[in-house]
Amino acid sequence: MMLNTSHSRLFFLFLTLLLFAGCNTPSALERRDRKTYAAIQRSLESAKEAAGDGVVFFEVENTSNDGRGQKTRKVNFAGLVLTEEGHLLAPFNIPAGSGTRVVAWVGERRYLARSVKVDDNLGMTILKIEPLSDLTPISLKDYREIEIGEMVYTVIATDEDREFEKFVFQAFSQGIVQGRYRQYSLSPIPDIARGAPLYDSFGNLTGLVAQSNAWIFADLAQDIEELLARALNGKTGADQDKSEEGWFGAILAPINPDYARLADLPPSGLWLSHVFEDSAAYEAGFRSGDLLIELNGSPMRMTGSRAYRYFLQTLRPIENAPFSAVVIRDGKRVKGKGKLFKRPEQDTLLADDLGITVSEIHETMVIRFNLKETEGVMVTAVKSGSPAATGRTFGEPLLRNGDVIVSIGGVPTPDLQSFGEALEKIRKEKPLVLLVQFQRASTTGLEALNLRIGTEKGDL
Amino acid sequence: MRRLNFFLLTTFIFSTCLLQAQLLPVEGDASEPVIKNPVDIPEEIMRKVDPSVVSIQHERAGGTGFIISKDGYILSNGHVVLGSDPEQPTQPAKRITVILSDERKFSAKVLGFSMDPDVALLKIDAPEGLIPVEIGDSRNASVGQRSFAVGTPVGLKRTFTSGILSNITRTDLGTETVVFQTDAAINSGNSGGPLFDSQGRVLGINTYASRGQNNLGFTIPIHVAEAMIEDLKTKGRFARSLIPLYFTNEIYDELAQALQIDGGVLISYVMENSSAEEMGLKMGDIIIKVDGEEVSAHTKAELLDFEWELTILPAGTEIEFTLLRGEPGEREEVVLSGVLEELELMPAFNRHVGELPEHRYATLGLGVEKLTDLHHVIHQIPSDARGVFVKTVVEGSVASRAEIQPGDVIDTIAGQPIENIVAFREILDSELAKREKAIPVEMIRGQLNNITAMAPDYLMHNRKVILIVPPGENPDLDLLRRELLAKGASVQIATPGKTALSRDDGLPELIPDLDLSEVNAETEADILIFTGGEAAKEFWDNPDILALVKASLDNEGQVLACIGESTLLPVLASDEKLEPKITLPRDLSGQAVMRGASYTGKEVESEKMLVTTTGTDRDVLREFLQEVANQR
Repeated sequence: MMLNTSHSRLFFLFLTLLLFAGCNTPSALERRDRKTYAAIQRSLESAKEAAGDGVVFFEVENTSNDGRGQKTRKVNFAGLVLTEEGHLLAPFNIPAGSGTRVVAWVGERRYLARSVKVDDNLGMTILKIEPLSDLTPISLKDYREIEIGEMVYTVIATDEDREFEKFVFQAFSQGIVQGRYRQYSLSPIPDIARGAPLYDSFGNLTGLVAQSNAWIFADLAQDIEELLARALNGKTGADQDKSEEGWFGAILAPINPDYARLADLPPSGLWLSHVFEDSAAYEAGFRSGDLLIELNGSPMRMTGSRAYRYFLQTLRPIENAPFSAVVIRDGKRVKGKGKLFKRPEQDTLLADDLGITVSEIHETMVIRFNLKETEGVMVTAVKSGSPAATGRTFGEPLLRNGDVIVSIGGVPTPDLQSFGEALEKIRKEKPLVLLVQFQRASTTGLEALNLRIGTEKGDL
Repeated sequence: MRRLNFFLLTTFIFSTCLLQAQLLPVEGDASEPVIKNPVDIPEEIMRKVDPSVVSIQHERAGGTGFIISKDGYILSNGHVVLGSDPEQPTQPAKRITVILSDERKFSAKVLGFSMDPDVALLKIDAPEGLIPVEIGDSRNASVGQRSFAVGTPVGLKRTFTSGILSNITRTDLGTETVVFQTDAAINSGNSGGPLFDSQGRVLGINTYASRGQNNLGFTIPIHVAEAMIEDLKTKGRFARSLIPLYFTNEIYDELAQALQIDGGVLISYVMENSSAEEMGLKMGDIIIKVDGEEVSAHTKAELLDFEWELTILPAGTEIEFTLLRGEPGEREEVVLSGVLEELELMPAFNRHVGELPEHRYATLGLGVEKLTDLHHVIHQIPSDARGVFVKTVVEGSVASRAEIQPGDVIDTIAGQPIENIVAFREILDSELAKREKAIPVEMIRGQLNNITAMAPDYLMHNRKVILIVPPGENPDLDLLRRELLAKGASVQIATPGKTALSRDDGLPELIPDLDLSEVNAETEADILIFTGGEAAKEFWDNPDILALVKASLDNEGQVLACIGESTLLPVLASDEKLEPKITLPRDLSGQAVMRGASYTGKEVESEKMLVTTTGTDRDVLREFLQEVANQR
């Protein structure tokens, strides 16, 4: 239990004082104090009641190996029960297969939880346990926005001495931190409260405890419901999360506030520095050079990198997520809407005989790596000890990550397929050396790989 | 027992040495047997080389050098004489002293230096009696050859260390030429000193050692330095010749097999729209002859030698390449002619510290340099991009608030295109002089264009400054003016007779706002700044100037600021002992002290609205300006 002996003693002393005070005629001041005390007690009770059995306690063990041995890091925090079947909300990113072990205490029972859906923007994860009986989910519907200075109550589950008991904490909201997910500050609260629900005096959900702040629940409610829906429908796991990634298809740069003032533009805009032609942004009618000023019905907020974060949190980049935006183009407002595309993925090919992995080149890579064109295949990995890694000078491989191969053995390789075909030809002909022509940054290069290097017998 | 063991061991070693000595050849007169060990350096060689080796000291550090002519030319390393000016990567240290073997000291002038190859040429005006070194044949040096170094390692003068040449084709240190490697102990302070062969002839200039390793010292072959001397003497820098711009590869075993060729030099890159492309060179061509002479590079060392021989030819030389072009079996011989050009100053890359001067507006936290062809190649800048290259952005500065980043190319300021440094300076200065709240800046970053605005703080926006400049060249003027403008001060320049002032390269002359005779005690100004320079000495006995200085000293509402030679003005203008503390260049301090002034010897001094500075370098001048701005 969280209440320790000294707390109990204080409490006892407090009660004694109250009783002692009761022996005399209470003054007006004492009467007011007593009323306040009773009101607080009622609020604490209503918070406890509203939370019900919907608050869980997590023990998270993260084991990593830094080469000098295994290290285990433990953290504890709170979370919410979302479904009767055992879906839990954790206020952390816990990717599947990340080597993190999560134990969830629900009531007095202890379960091993697995990660089913992570949302990077929300910074939360849906975990799943297999409960022995139906759980009681917390109500996500009865929420209300908090006002500055209002008193809030949090309900934390603890595992101390294995005597499970909910513990209620009281805090003041101390103002609002602006963002896509707005936060209010709290008076000090224990670290393990992270993820716990916060209630107002009438038992309405107002927020979730973040680090020393609280998220305003009204901003989260819909996103949490959507995240749960995604966890319930469809495949789960890390690969699935990746394949679901949505793609707006523009390179964004926050507008400089001084320039915005000078040019009489909103200070919280994002330049679409480059819009890719095969993207959702392009299809929605946006073009390179537009200034994005409204997103999903609200004006953009914040400046610098925070504006970019706001964009991601608001857009919620999942494939097919609908979006609407307003940009300024040549001084005029232009509206557009659409659905996010799937993030383009590049096929890769392992050319083990050369010791490299190559990838096809999408237009996004042309901008990202400052390439001349999409023609060629890009080296994404060089295997040590291979023909490509063995250079003329020690430590300097013949081919490097980022090189764009334009021909091998005299055969042009404008794309991955032609590279594959050229590789097949080489495998048949088994040359001892292979001429590779490539583009490296702004320059060109020609190298010859010794294909006997790195083979076990010294020949092919 | 232990003592006995020690005795036995000593005896054993001693007797072994004796035995060896007896077996070795004996030099000298047979009647006077002198036992000589071949690893010893003969005394006459020591005596021969010793007077030619000198110590070099300056305000930052020092090293070693050696005399190459009776009239006082000295070779050393570029890094030994390098100054501390971050904006001028090829600025030598200011006060260099050369100490001869007989402990005589001379002021030295750096005639020119290069950081790669790491060579400097200095000159002292010494009386007769200088003994130059004998130059050896470094082109025909061989591995295993005995060598010895003389230098000032860690300040220990006249230290002789010996070894062999461990390698003579070292190329993997990223240097422009091959370097020699020796196991003669080379430590910091040996830099710039000679490496001699067994006959006391110079094989090279010791340049650096591998830190934390044992007996890995490196030496610039003397033939490399010799080829640079004329340029250093006449141009103050090493001017490389080439046909811009193509890169070459050595044809190593696998490449020879793949290309089915025996030798030659492979052209791996030809820059678009360059002289090399115009000449007709193509990627994949193989150079087999230069001016009819066969050339070939199988190793990196051979490639560096091939390139070096072209680099050291005078610009303007016409050269003829015979090339092989086409697929193996179908190759044709192509003969192309081109003219070698002088390579423009190089930007920093890899180990090169660069040679381009930086133009820094410290008040804005922004420094730019000329955009060269090499920038396009090194930083992947689109070939059609024009502008200036951003070298420095100070964190938290005006430029960093505008999200300008090093590597950006600024191509427009306030809507006006920036073609070069001159345009950048003129347009930015004019925007600053107007005290624009925000100055729009457009730049190229990778393949994207960005637009932003710099919003200077203009902390001196309500201060009126008169810069009083003596006639003639004034190297500090541009810096003072641009920093004051960037601080938002209203700046007027006054010269005697309103004579125009020359400025940095390419910038038009500056026409002063005032004739100095118009400036007097009644002239409205918050700050008077007297710049320094040799010509400022003319102010010392000018009664009008001294009256102006006196009035300024008496005016509690006006800041008087003096640089370099002008720092003596407040001392000379005071009828009585000058009250506020001052600082002066060292050679003027005597005069000030004689007149009872309190001289502190700091770089910048300020008290009671009087700010003085030695004006040693840009950083000092900027500190001085900050102190001027702080006076109220």
